[in-house]
Amino acid sequence: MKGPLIRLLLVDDNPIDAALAQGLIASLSQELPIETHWVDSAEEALAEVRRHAYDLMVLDYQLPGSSGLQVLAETQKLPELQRPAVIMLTASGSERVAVEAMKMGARDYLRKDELAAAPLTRALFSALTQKTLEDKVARYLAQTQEDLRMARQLQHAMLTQRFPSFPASAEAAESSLRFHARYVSTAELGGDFYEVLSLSDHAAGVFICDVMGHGVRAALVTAMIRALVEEERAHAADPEGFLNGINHGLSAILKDMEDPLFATAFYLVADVAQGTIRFVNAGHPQPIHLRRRDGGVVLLQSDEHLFPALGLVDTAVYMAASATVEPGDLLLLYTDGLIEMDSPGDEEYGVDRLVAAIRQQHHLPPGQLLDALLADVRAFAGGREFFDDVCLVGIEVAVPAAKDPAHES
Amino acid sequence: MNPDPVETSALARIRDIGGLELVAKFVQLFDTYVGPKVAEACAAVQKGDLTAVAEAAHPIKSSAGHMGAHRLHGLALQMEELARAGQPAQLPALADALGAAFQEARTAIQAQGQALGLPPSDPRPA
Repeated sequence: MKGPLIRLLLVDDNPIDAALAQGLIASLSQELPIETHWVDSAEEALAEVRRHAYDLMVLDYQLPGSSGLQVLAETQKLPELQRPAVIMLTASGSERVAVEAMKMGARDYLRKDELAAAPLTRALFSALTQKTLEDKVARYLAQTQEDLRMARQLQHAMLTQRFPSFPASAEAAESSLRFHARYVSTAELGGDFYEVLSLSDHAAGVFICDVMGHGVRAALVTAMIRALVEEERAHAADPEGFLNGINHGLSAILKDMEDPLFATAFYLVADVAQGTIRFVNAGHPQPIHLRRRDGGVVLLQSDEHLFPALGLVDTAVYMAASATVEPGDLLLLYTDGLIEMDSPGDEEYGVDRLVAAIRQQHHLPPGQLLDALLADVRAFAGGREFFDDVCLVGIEVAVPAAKDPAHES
Repeated sequence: MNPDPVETSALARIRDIGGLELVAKFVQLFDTYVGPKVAEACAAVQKGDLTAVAEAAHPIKSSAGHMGAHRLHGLALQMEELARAGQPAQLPALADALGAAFQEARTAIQAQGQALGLPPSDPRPA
């Protein structure tokens, strides 16, 4: 095993034992180029491994005022790539100690009374091979974690942070359609996505989707959908044409996948001039319509139009339903991570509780309402964090400023 | 029990590992390290400090083993075990034997070293 110099820390308070070990290690130099540093106390050993990176540590069990097991325990707390592979030196009859050391992370043990070239070579080769492999894995994991962290940042950056105004010249607080969004991500890459499209001075398209699963493939499909949304933007005023186009594009991409992938989605076009919304639901949780006029909270649904999630059926023909909206109304779109949280008693939060929570707190300004809903779900779940990404998008049909001076944007 | 205080091939094995330089180091350490440990062990027996007896006997045991000083190794092993077991009765006799075994081994090791090519060392007892 020729290669870079291997750094070995020898910890033994007996200079004769240390001289023998060093002599044996030096005799292996043709096969194992090792640079040995000797210390004779636990304190010096710990100071050394904290200061310098060692590949190996040959560690005597019995040290003055301490034990090799204590040194081993402290060494195991070092970051993985800084941690040497430890070989314990034990006295004869101390197999119990050796087993304890192995449980604590030592790679091997050698009996001092049997210290010779062959067992030492075996132990050193074995420990080095394990450590080399584990270091490779640790480096790969660290790089992957960093890549995932950056990918999560990119995903967040893809979500609309600044919403269009209606008309375009209006300040956000004066816009006739106002948007509020909350996004809670889990540690992994997610598949939730939303987009707000400006269609005219009085009409907006709002798209929300939830890709099945987590991780890299969900994130990739989300990125594909975002690209398809851009591609279909010319048809965005027509909810049917828009979603049909996205479904067709996504189905074409996913048709050759071995495992099925799909995304639930909901798209609506809100036109404040006409006081209407037209919407298409592709298997997504039904959004909620909060009517300010009478405090009514209803689901945006159309039982005649139940359509499959995007990417599942290439030939699906999505058809739109419609509803009326009035100033002050709030439309709440969300992904299923919100309602699928379980209580400590394994009861699901569900749509009914969401509707009830909105009825209770409908008087809150939209942004505060979204926060209150998240808090309600967290409380229901006993304070646990969400296990799936949660996306909430509130679409507020604004009351003209003269009629609602206390509005919060 | 080996009638020779030191196994004759032990230092030769040391030489095969690290040459005369390593043999010289071992011979010197037997004097400068094992000798004081023997004195520590004997003093600890006189004081009745069993922990100190065990701590001193432990390195004598392994060092003597590496150098083929089997009688010294065996005595140190017994003393360590009895001290750890809290049984001091035989320790004074063992300590006397330990001192004698060390002097015998020291003389034999120095003679073997010279036979392997080392210069004569200080003949005075450690």
